[in-house]
Amino acid sequence: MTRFSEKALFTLLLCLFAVLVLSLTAGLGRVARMVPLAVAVPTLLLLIGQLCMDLAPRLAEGLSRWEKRDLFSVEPLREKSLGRIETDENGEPSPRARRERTALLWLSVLGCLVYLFGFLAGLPAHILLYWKMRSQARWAPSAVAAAGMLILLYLLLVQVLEFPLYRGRLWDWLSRASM
Amino acid sequence: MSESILQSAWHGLVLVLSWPNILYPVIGTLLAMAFAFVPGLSGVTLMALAISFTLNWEPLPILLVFGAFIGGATFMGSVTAILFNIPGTTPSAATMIDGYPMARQGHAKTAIGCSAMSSALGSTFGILVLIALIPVMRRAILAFGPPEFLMLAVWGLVTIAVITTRASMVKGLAAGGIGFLISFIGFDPRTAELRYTLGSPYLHDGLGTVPVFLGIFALAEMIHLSATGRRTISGGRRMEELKGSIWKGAASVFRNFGLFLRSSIIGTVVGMIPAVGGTVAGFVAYGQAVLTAREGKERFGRGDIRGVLAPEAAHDAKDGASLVPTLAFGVPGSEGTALLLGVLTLHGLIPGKELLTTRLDLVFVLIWSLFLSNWMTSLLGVATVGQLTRLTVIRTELLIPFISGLAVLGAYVSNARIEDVAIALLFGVCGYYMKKQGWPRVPLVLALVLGPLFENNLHITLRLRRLGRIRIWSRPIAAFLMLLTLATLALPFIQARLSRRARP
Repeated sequence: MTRFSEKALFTLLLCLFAVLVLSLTAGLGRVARMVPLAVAVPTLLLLIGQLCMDLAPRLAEGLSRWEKRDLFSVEPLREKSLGRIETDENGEPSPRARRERTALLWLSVLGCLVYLFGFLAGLPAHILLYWKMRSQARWAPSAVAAAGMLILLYLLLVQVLEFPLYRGRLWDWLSRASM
Repeated sequence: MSESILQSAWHGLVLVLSWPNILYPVIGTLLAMAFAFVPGLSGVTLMALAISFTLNWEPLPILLVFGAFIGGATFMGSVTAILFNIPGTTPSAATMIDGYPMARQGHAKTAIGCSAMSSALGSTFGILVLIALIPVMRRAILAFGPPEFLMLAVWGLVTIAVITTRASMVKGLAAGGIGFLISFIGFDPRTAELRYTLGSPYLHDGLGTVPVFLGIFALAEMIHLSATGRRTISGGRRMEELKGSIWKGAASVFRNFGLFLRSSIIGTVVGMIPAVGGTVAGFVAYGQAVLTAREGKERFGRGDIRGVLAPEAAHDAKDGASLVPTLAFGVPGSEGTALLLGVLTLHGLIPGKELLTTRLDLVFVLIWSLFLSNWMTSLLGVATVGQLTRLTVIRTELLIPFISGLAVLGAYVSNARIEDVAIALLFGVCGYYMKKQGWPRVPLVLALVLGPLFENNLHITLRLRRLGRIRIWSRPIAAFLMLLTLATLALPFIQARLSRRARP
């Protein structure tokens, strides 16, 4: 997927969100819908405009002549300083898309682990797996980091604050199955 | 300055310096220093993480800690900019232009000394301006009623959407609109009718601001850090012994005091404009340093100490000044103050009349904490710079699971609902793509915080209008703000036209 189509896709998703809100607004009472309607309509129009610009770069280029984005004229200086660090360290073509997918995958793993095993088991497990598999650290430091998180969570939240931590769906299912 | 203000200032200072209160700004500053030292993390990430863990705290420690977070992050970001050519925080980017060449020429300590002194004095300048403006803000705020606050919210949001650099106005305004729409989820304040809940009881009270903050500012940054793939801060470079003289660097601020004052004034003015932020302040100050230099202009960019002094003074002076619109009108000047506004609102401290009159001592607690943390960061930073450079060999990606874990835990702790974790993850992904595709995040967050106040003030204004109690021309401030909003919307187009004319 190219960067351009991703840009348009993201704007399209935002458009769909605004359309959903607008359709739900239609079902609301007169008073309850007044302010949301006044916001949703211009927002949707702006999003559609942005989508058109994403789909037609020439249109965006033409319109950008009418709008000055760098109001304080600092972009040349910003480019001068930040431009030199925004390339890959080894100078190779950026494998950013792959790393991005991996980052999103690991975030999903975190969500799943917390949902299934709760915080006390899920967060240390995520650290252990991340260090070992993603960062390619050795087993010993990975286990120490995970144990550190477990001890911190247990002492601070369970023992000191007595906070009712989420236990995880898996234990609920298992306890229901054993009954 | 009236006696009550001086009394509040004294009371605030006593509160900050008393035991164990003093521990809060100290710990807050140390945490902010650590976060600012690691590229990819920032004071904003720290603030987002801290919101949920401090939900049950009293307002006093909250203000002490968050004041320290705002003040503590700025100088340390410049140390990595000078030593490694990587800004720890984005506003330090302008410092790199001359700071890094100075370090390469064996004047690293001189650049750091100059940065520390300029930072500390610049922040003091911004804070003094803030204190001097408190009587003016108090008088101004008394003239504000619901129509004025309504127009102020609209103007603030429009300004943030328009001025946020590197994003088009359409994106800024649409992001603000989406933030408002999200804020409408839950019960309608007037009719108690449910809106946009899709039948889920979880959404009856609306989306919690804490999970959204954590997602947009903390998780999104972790995805970004992971996607950019930086392994260590130093990039594998070996850190040589730091050379130069801290004292010589510090003294250079007094040798170039005119430049320091000009840069601090720029930082203060820029800080008061919503959403412009420290990065712009730093670059504008750098630009004026080059323009106004009487001699040696060619040295800029090759390691001139004035190129370190100017941006440092400006982006630290901005800290105090950005609290002016935040505390008086609830319109934040930066990402950090947007989060501070969220924290204040969560703890029932609504910026404006009440905060500046009956809770003025708390305002001074925030100001003193900011002052203390700025000086502490500079002094500690200079004293420990040799040891801190050892932290630069830590692989930043190893921190990602810890920060992500704390973010999802924070989202849960805020309300003890697992759905909040899903919301934080969803907004984390959304925030990452917003950042990647050039959509500004601050208008969305600000609209989410201001949404209920906006709707409430709109309803009151309309009701007053129906009852014949107000006419738009009888409210000059509201009318002025309306005109200002229109002028702000027109600003990019006017500037584009002017710059086209100026081109041959």
